[in-house]
Amino acid sequence: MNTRYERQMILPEVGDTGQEKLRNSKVLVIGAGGLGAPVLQYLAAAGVGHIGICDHDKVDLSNLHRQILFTSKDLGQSKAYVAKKFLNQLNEDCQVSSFEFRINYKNIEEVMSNYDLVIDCTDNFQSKFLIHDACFLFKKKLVQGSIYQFEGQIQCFDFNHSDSSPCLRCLWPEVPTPGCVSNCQEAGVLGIVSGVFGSLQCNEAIKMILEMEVLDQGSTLTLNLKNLSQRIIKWKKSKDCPLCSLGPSIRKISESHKLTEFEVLEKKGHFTEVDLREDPSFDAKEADPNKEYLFFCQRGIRSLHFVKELRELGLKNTYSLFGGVDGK
Amino acid sequence: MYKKVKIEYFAVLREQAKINSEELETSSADARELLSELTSKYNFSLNESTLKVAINEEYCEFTTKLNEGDRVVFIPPVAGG
Ligand SMILES: [Zn+2]
Repeated sequence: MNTRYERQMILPEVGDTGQEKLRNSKVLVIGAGGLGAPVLQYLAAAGVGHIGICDHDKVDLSNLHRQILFTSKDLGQSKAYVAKKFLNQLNEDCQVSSFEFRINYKNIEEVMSNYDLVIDCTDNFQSKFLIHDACFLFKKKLVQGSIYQFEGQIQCFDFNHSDSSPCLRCLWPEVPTPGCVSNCQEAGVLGIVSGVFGSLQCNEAIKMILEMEVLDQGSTLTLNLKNLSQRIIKWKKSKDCPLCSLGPSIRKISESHKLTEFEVLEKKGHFTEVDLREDPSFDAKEADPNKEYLFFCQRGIRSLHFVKELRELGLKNTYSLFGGVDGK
Repeated sequence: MYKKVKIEYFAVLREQAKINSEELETSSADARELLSELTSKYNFSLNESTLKVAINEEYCEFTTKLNEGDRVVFIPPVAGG
Protein backbone atom coordinates (compact mmCIF):
# COMPACT_ATOMS: atom_id res chain seq x y z
CA MET A 1 0.00 0.00 0.00
CA ASN A 2 1.25 3.47 -0.87
CA THR A 3 2.33 4.96 2.46
CA ARG A 4 1.32 8.49 1.47
CA TYR A 5 -2.31 7.46 1.12
CA GLU A 6 -2.48 4.49 3.50
CA ARG A 7 -4.67 6.20 6.11
CA GLN A 8 -7.38 6.87 3.55
CA MET A 9 -6.88 3.62 1.63
CA ILE A 10 -7.68 1.67 4.83
CA LEU A 11 -11.23 3.03 4.53
CA PRO A 12 -13.52 0.50 2.86
CA GLU A 13 -14.94 3.40 0.77
CA VAL A 14 -11.46 4.06 -0.70
CA GLY A 15 -9.14 1.07 -0.91
CA ASP A 16 -7.04 0.39 -4.01
CA THR A 17 -9.90 1.06 -6.43
CA GLY A 18 -10.85 4.36 -4.79
CA GLN A 19 -7.26 5.56 -4.80
CA GLU A 20 -7.06 4.62 -8.47
CA LYS A 21 -10.23 6.65 -9.14
CA LEU A 22 -8.65 9.63 -7.40
CA ARG A 23 -5.45 9.24 -9.42
CA ASN A 24 -7.42 9.09 -12.68
CA SER A 25 -9.71 12.01 -11.89
CA LYS A 26 -9.43 15.40 -13.56
CA VAL A 27 -10.68 18.28 -11.46
CA LEU A 28 -10.86 21.95 -12.39
CA VAL A 29 -11.00 24.52 -9.58
CA ILE A 30 -12.20 27.95 -10.68
CA GLY A 31 -11.28 30.62 -8.17
CA ALA A 32 -8.16 30.23 -6.03
CA GLY A 33 -9.40 32.41 -3.17
CA GLY A 34 -10.97 31.68 0.20
CA LEU A 35 -12.96 28.65 -0.94
CA GLY A 36 -10.36 27.50 -3.42
CA ALA A 37 -7.48 27.35 -0.91
CA PRO A 38 -8.67 24.32 1.13
CA VAL A 39 -10.21 22.73 -1.99
CA LEU A 40 -6.86 22.74 -3.81
CA GLN A 41 -4.85 21.55 -0.83
CA TYR A 42 -7.13 18.60 -0.02
CA LEU A 43 -7.45 17.56 -3.66
CA ALA A 44 -3.68 17.41 -4.03
CA ALA A 45 -3.12 15.78 -0.65
CA ALA A 46 -5.71 13.08 -1.47
CA GLY A 47 -3.85 12.21 -4.67
CA VAL A 48 -6.17 13.61 -7.34
CA GLY A 49 -4.19 13.00 -10.53
CA HIS A 50 -4.97 16.11 -12.57
CA ILE A 51 -5.82 19.48 -11.08
CA GLY A 52 -6.52 22.68 -13.01
CA ILE A 53 -6.47 26.08 -11.29
CA CYS A 54 -8.14 29.04 -12.95
CA ASP A 55 -7.84 32.53 -11.47
CA HIS A 56 -6.97 35.86 -13.07
CA ASP A 57 -6.22 37.64 -9.80
CA LYS A 58 -3.00 38.52 -7.98
CA VAL A 59 -2.29 37.93 -4.30
CA ASP A 60 -3.22 40.95 -2.19
CA LEU A 61 -2.40 41.57 1.48
CA SER A 62 -6.13 41.65 2.34
CA ASN A 63 -6.46 38.06 1.00
CA LEU A 64 -4.07 36.44 3.44
CA HIS A 65 -6.44 36.12 6.43
CA ARG A 66 -8.47 33.53 4.50
CA GLN A 67 -6.56 32.43 1.41
CA ILE A 68 -4.21 30.17 3.28
CA LEU A 69 -2.30 28.92 0.23
CA PHE A 70 -0.49 32.25 0.08
CA THR A 71 2.16 33.87 2.25
CA SER A 72 3.43 37.42 2.60
CA LYS A 73 6.17 36.53 0.08
CA ASP A 74 3.59 35.94 -2.67
CA LEU A 75 2.10 39.44 -2.72
CA GLY A 76 1.54 40.71 -6.25
CA GLN A 77 2.02 37.30 -7.87
CA SER A 78 -0.57 35.39 -9.86
CA LYS A 79 -2.77 33.30 -7.56
CA ALA A 80 -3.05 30.44 -10.04
CA TYR A 81 0.73 30.34 -10.47
CA VAL A 82 1.52 30.46 -6.74
CA ALA A 83 -1.13 27.81 -6.05
CA LYS A 84 0.35 25.54 -8.71
CA LYS A 85 3.82 25.87 -7.14
CA PHE A 86 2.35 25.09 -3.71
CA LEU A 87 0.59 21.94 -4.97
CA ASN A 88 3.71 20.78 -6.83
CA GLN A 89 5.60 20.86 -3.50
CA LEU A 90 2.75 19.23 -1.60
CA ASN A 91 2.40 16.21 -3.86
CA GLU A 92 4.49 15.37 -6.92
CA ASP A 93 1.90 12.73 -7.95
CA CYS A 94 -0.44 15.49 -9.14
CA GLN A 95 -0.24 17.07 -12.55
CA VAL A 96 -1.20 20.67 -12.02
CA SER A 97 -2.11 23.19 -14.73
CA SER A 98 -2.70 26.87 -14.14
CA PHE A 99 -4.93 29.19 -16.18
CA GLU A 100 -3.97 32.72 -15.28
CA PHE A 101 -6.94 34.55 -16.75
CA ARG A 102 -10.57 35.24 -15.97
CA ILE A 103 -13.02 32.62 -17.14
CA ASN A 104 -15.40 33.98 -19.77
CA TYR A 105 -17.87 32.78 -22.38
CA LYS A 106 -15.16 32.54 -25.03
CA ASN A 107 -12.56 30.52 -23.13
CA ILE A 108 -14.66 28.36 -20.79
CA GLU A 109 -15.21 25.45 -23.17
CA GLU A 110 -11.51 25.06 -23.84
CA VAL A 111 -10.52 25.45 -20.17
CA MET A 112 -13.08 22.82 -19.11
CA SER A 113 -12.39 20.41 -21.95
CA ASN A 114 -9.76 18.31 -20.13
CA TYR A 115 -11.71 17.97 -16.87
CA ASP A 116 -14.60 15.82 -15.61
CA LEU A 117 -15.46 17.67 -12.44
CA VAL A 118 -15.54 21.40 -11.79
CA ILE A 119 -15.44 23.04 -8.36
CA ASP A 120 -16.82 26.55 -8.45
CA CYS A 121 -14.99 28.72 -5.91
CA THR A 122 -15.76 32.05 -7.56
CA ASP A 123 -17.28 35.04 -5.82
CA ASN A 124 -19.83 36.51 -8.26
CA PHE A 125 -23.11 35.53 -9.88
CA GLN A 126 -21.95 36.07 -13.47
CA SER A 127 -19.14 33.52 -13.12
CA LYS A 128 -21.29 31.09 -11.13
CA PHE A 129 -24.03 31.02 -13.77
CA LEU A 130 -21.53 30.87 -16.63
CA ILE A 131 -19.79 27.88 -15.00
CA HIS A 132 -23.11 26.22 -14.20
CA ASP A 133 -24.47 26.60 -17.74
CA ALA A 134 -21.20 25.38 -19.26
CA CYS A 135 -21.14 22.33 -16.97
CA PHE A 136 -24.71 21.53 -18.08
CA LEU A 137 -23.97 21.96 -21.78
CA PHE A 138 -20.63 20.10 -21.69
CA LYS A 139 -21.93 17.40 -19.29
CA LYS A 140 -19.56 17.91 -16.36
CA LYS A 141 -19.98 17.30 -12.67
CA LEU A 142 -20.14 20.48 -10.58
CA VAL A 143 -19.80 21.40 -6.92
CA GLN A 144 -20.81 24.97 -6.10
CA GLY A 145 -20.11 26.90 -2.93
CA SER A 146 -20.74 30.44 -1.76
CA ILE A 147 -20.56 32.27 1.53
CA TYR A 148 -22.01 35.32 3.21
CA GLN A 149 -20.44 36.46 6.48
CA PHE A 150 -20.97 33.45 8.81
CA GLU A 151 -23.22 31.52 6.44
CA GLY A 152 -22.85 29.64 3.23
CA GLN A 153 -24.41 27.15 0.92
CA ILE A 154 -23.29 24.33 -1.35
CA GLN A 155 -24.89 22.49 -4.26
CA CYS A 156 -23.87 19.43 -6.29
CA PHE A 157 -24.77 18.59 -9.90
CA ASP A 158 -23.91 15.64 -12.08
CA PHE A 159 -24.84 16.80 -15.56
CA ASN A 160 -23.20 13.75 -17.09
CA HIS A 161 -25.87 11.45 -15.69
CA SER A 162 -28.91 13.37 -14.54
CA ASP A 163 -31.47 14.36 -17.13
CA SER A 164 -34.40 14.27 -14.76
CA SER A 165 -32.88 16.31 -11.93
CA PRO A 166 -33.20 20.09 -11.60
CA CYS A 167 -30.48 22.55 -12.51
CA LEU A 168 -29.78 25.91 -10.87
CA ARG A 169 -31.71 27.76 -13.58
CA CYS A 170 -34.86 25.85 -12.58
CA LEU A 171 -34.62 27.83 -9.33
CA TRP A 172 -33.02 31.04 -10.61
CA PRO A 173 -33.94 31.38 -14.31
CA GLU A 174 -32.03 34.65 -14.50
CA VAL A 175 -28.68 35.68 -13.05
CA PRO A 176 -29.33 37.75 -9.90
CA THR A 177 -28.13 41.33 -10.20
CA PRO A 178 -24.66 41.77 -8.70
CA GLY A 179 -25.82 44.68 -6.55
CA CYS A 180 -28.60 42.78 -4.83
CA VAL A 181 -26.34 41.00 -2.36
CA SER A 182 -22.90 42.12 -1.31
CA ASN A 183 -19.73 40.03 -1.64
CA CYS A 184 -17.00 39.31 0.92
CA GLN A 185 -15.28 42.59 0.23
CA GLU A 186 -18.34 44.61 1.14
CA ALA A 187 -19.97 42.35 3.71
CA GLY A 188 -16.85 41.06 5.49
CA VAL A 189 -15.93 37.44 6.14
CA LEU A 190 -14.03 35.50 8.77
CA GLY A 191 -11.26 33.44 7.14
CA ILE A 192 -12.31 30.19 8.75
CA VAL A 193 -15.81 30.46 7.25
CA SER A 194 -14.46 30.17 3.71
CA GLY A 195 -12.21 27.37 5.02
CA VAL A 196 -15.21 25.40 6.32
CA PHE A 197 -17.23 25.79 3.12
CA GLY A 198 -14.29 25.08 0.84
CA SER A 199 -13.63 21.94 2.87
CA LEU A 200 -17.30 20.92 2.55
CA GLN A 201 -17.11 21.43 -1.21
CA CYS A 202 -13.96 19.34 -1.47
CA ASN A 203 -15.53 16.61 0.66
CA GLU A 204 -18.46 16.41 -1.79
CA ALA A 205 -16.07 16.44 -4.75
CA ILE A 206 -13.95 13.59 -3.37
CA LYS A 207 -17.08 11.58 -2.57
CA MET A 208 -18.28 12.16 -6.15
CA ILE A 209 -14.99 10.80 -7.49
CA LEU A 210 -15.27 7.78 -5.18
CA GLU A 211 -18.88 7.33 -6.35
CA MET A 212 -20.20 7.71 -2.82
CA GLU A 213 -23.44 9.38 -1.78
CA VAL A 214 -23.40 13.18 -2.14
CA LEU A 215 -25.84 16.02 -1.60
CA ASP A 216 -28.85 15.41 -3.88
CA GLN A 217 -29.01 17.40 -7.10
CA GLY A 218 -31.69 20.03 -6.65
CA SER A 219 -30.93 20.68 -2.99
CA THR A 220 -29.09 23.43 -1.23
CA LEU A 221 -27.21 22.78 1.98
CA THR A 222 -27.28 25.92 4.07
CA LEU A 223 -25.19 26.19 7.21
CA ASN A 224 -24.96 29.02 9.68
CA LEU A 225 -21.63 28.91 11.52
CA LYS A 226 -22.84 31.35 14.18
CA ASN A 227 -25.39 28.98 15.68
CA LEU A 228 -24.52 25.82 13.67
CA SER A 229 -28.04 25.52 12.29
CA GLN A 230 -28.21 23.54 9.09
CA ARG A 231 -30.88 22.90 6.48
CA ILE A 232 -31.20 20.97 3.26
CA ILE A 233 -33.77 22.70 1.06
CA LYS A 234 -35.02 21.09 -2.15
CA TRP A 235 -36.27 22.59 -5.36
CA LYS A 236 -38.08 21.07 -8.31
CA LYS A 237 -37.26 20.79 -11.98
CA SER A 238 -39.03 23.54 -13.90
CA LYS A 239 -40.70 22.76 -17.23
CA ASP A 240 -40.01 26.39 -18.19
CA CYS A 241 -36.30 26.25 -17.29
CA PRO A 242 -34.26 28.29 -19.80
CA LEU A 243 -31.50 25.64 -19.69
CA CYS A 244 -32.68 22.10 -18.92
CA SER A 245 -36.28 22.11 -20.22
CA LEU A 246 -37.35 20.61 -23.54
CA GLY A 247 -37.34 23.95 -25.35
CA PRO A 248 -34.45 25.80 -23.75
CA SER A 249 -33.52 29.37 -24.67
CA ILE A 250 -29.89 28.81 -23.59
CA ARG A 251 -28.39 26.32 -26.03
CA LYS A 252 -24.82 27.49 -26.18
CA ILE A 253 -22.48 29.58 -24.12
CA SER A 254 -22.67 33.15 -25.32
CA GLU A 255 -22.52 36.62 -23.93
CA SER A 256 -25.33 36.88 -21.43
CA HIS A 257 -28.22 38.34 -23.31
CA LYS A 258 -31.83 38.46 -22.31
CA LEU A 259 -34.21 38.10 -25.22
CA THR A 260 -36.62 41.00 -25.28
CA GLU A 261 -40.30 40.51 -26.03
CA PHE A 262 -39.50 41.72 -29.58
CA GLU A 263 -37.00 38.97 -30.36
CA VAL A 264 -37.05 35.33 -31.38
CA LEU A 265 -34.11 32.92 -31.60
CA GLU A 266 -34.79 31.31 -34.94
CA LYS A 267 -36.76 31.50 -38.17
CA LYS A 268 -39.87 29.39 -38.01
CA GLY A 269 -42.17 28.45 -40.92
CA HIS A 270 -45.17 30.56 -40.02
CA PHE A 271 -43.25 33.85 -40.17
CA THR A 272 -43.35 36.12 -43.17
CA GLU A 273 -39.67 36.99 -43.46
CA VAL A 274 -38.43 40.47 -44.26
CA ASP A 275 -34.72 40.88 -44.99
CA LEU A 276 -33.91 44.46 -44.05
CA ARG A 277 -30.52 44.23 -45.77
CA GLU A 278 -32.26 43.94 -49.14
CA ASP A 279 -35.34 46.05 -48.57
CA PRO A 280 -35.26 48.56 -45.73
CA SER A 281 -38.53 50.19 -46.82
CA PHE A 282 -41.24 48.17 -45.13
CA ASP A 283 -44.57 49.99 -45.18
CA ALA A 284 -46.36 49.55 -41.88
CA LYS A 285 -49.69 50.62 -43.36
CA GLU A 286 -49.68 47.74 -45.81
CA ALA A 287 -48.88 45.11 -43.24
CA ASP A 288 -51.37 42.26 -42.98
CA PRO A 289 -52.57 41.99 -39.34
CA ASN A 290 -53.17 38.27 -39.80
CA LYS A 291 -49.54 37.56 -40.60
CA GLU A 292 -46.55 37.35 -38.26
CA TYR A 293 -43.54 39.22 -39.59
CA LEU A 294 -39.95 38.31 -38.82
CA PHE A 295 -37.43 41.04 -39.57
CA PHE A 296 -33.77 40.30 -39.80
CA CYS A 297 -30.54 42.04 -40.72
CA GLN A 298 -26.83 41.22 -40.39
CA ARG A 299 -26.52 41.32 -36.61
CA GLY A 300 -30.02 41.76 -35.22
CA ILE A 301 -29.54 45.32 -34.02
CA ARG A 302 -31.17 47.29 -36.83
CA SER A 303 -34.07 44.84 -37.02
CA LEU A 304 -34.64 45.13 -33.27
CA HIS A 305 -34.92 48.94 -33.52
CA PHE A 306 -37.18 48.56 -36.50
CA VAL A 307 -39.55 46.18 -34.69
CA LYS A 308 -39.66 48.46 -31.64
CA GLU A 309 -40.83 51.30 -33.90
CA LEU A 310 -43.44 49.10 -35.57
CA ARG A 311 -44.76 47.97 -32.20
CA GLU A 312 -45.15 51.59 -31.17
CA LEU A 313 -47.23 52.08 -34.28
CA GLY A 314 -49.46 49.29 -33.01
CA LEU A 315 -48.14 46.36 -35.08
CA LYS A 316 -47.98 43.66 -32.42
CA ASN A 317 -47.31 40.77 -34.80
CA THR A 318 -43.70 41.74 -35.56
CA TYR A 319 -40.45 40.15 -34.36
CA SER A 320 -36.72 40.58 -34.77
CA LEU A 321 -34.29 37.70 -35.31
CA PHE A 322 -31.85 37.76 -32.38
CA GLY A 323 -28.23 37.90 -33.52
CA GLY A 324 -29.27 38.44 -37.14
CA VAL A 325 -27.84 36.38 -39.99
CA ASP A 326 -24.42 36.35 -38.28
CA GLY A 327 -25.86 34.72 -35.18
CA LYS A 328 -26.77 31.52 -36.99
CA MET B 1 -57.54 33.52 10.61
CA TYR B 2 -54.38 33.61 12.70
CA LYS B 3 -51.80 30.87 12.56
CA LYS B 4 -48.44 30.34 14.17
CA VAL B 5 -45.43 29.92 11.84
CA LYS B 6 -41.71 29.67 12.45
CA ILE B 7 -39.60 31.97 10.31
CA GLU B 8 -35.88 31.73 9.65
CA TYR B 9 -33.73 34.36 8.06
CA PHE B 10 -30.74 33.74 5.87
CA ALA B 11 -27.73 35.90 4.93
CA VAL B 12 -28.53 39.58 4.37
CA LEU B 13 -32.07 39.14 5.75
CA ARG B 14 -30.66 37.79 8.98
CA GLU B 15 -28.43 40.83 9.14
CA GLN B 16 -31.36 43.17 8.63
CA ALA B 17 -33.80 41.37 10.96
CA LYS B 18 -30.98 41.03 13.55
CA ILE B 19 -32.36 37.62 14.60
CA ASN B 20 -31.86 34.06 13.35
CA SER B 21 -35.47 32.99 13.65
CA GLU B 22 -38.75 33.78 15.32
CA GLU B 23 -42.21 32.38 15.90
CA LEU B 24 -45.00 34.59 14.70
CA GLU B 25 -48.79 34.70 14.94
CA THR B 26 -49.82 35.96 11.55
CA SER B 27 -52.96 36.58 9.55
CA SER B 28 -50.99 36.48 6.29
CA ALA B 29 -52.56 33.94 3.95
CA ASP B 30 -49.51 33.18 1.83
CA ALA B 31 -45.74 33.71 1.67
CA ARG B 32 -46.17 36.94 -0.29
CA GLU B 33 -48.32 38.54 2.43
CA LEU B 34 -45.95 37.28 5.10
CA LEU B 35 -42.97 38.82 3.33
CA SER B 36 -44.68 42.20 3.07
CA GLU B 37 -45.69 41.99 6.74
CA LEU B 38 -42.04 41.30 7.66
CA THR B 39 -40.71 43.93 5.28
CA SER B 40 -42.71 46.64 7.00
CA LYS B 41 -41.35 45.34 10.31
CA TYR B 42 -37.67 45.02 9.36
CA ASN B 43 -37.28 47.24 6.32
CA PHE B 44 -35.77 44.48 4.16
CA SER B 45 -33.72 45.75 1.22
CA LEU B 46 -34.65 42.76 -0.96
CA ASN B 47 -38.03 41.98 -2.46
CA GLU B 48 -39.77 39.00 -4.02
CA SER B 49 -37.86 39.26 -7.28
CA THR B 50 -34.47 38.86 -5.57
CA LEU B 51 -35.47 36.30 -2.94
CA LYS B 52 -36.58 32.71 -2.66
CA VAL B 53 -38.92 31.29 -0.08
CA ALA B 54 -38.93 27.75 1.24
CA ILE B 55 -41.70 26.22 3.32
CA ASN B 56 -40.91 23.06 5.27
CA GLU B 57 -37.59 22.54 3.48
CA GLU B 58 -38.91 23.00 -0.07
CA TYR B 59 -38.52 26.03 -2.25
CA CYS B 60 -41.97 27.19 -3.34
CA GLU B 61 -43.94 29.99 -4.98
CA PHE B 62 -44.74 33.16 -3.05
CA THR B 63 -48.41 32.32 -3.60
CA THR B 64 -48.12 29.16 -1.49
CA LYS B 65 -50.66 29.21 1.35
CA LEU B 66 -49.42 29.18 4.91
CA ASN B 67 -50.55 26.55 7.39
CA GLU B 68 -50.32 26.31 11.16
CA GLY B 69 -46.83 25.19 12.20
CA ASP B 70 -45.13 25.85 8.85
CA ARG B 71 -41.42 26.55 8.86
CA VAL B 72 -40.74 29.42 6.49
CA VAL B 73 -37.24 30.38 5.31
CA PHE B 74 -36.44 33.43 3.22
CA ILE B 75 -33.26 32.97 1.20
CA PRO B 76 -31.43 35.57 -0.87
CA PRO B 77 -28.87 34.43 -3.43
CA VAL B 78 -25.34 34.22 -2.04
CA ALA B 79 -22.19 34.63 -4.13
CA GLY B 80 -19.21 35.26 -1.83
CA GLY B 81 -16.15 33.07 -2.18
ZN1 LIG C 1 -33.21 23.65 -15.16
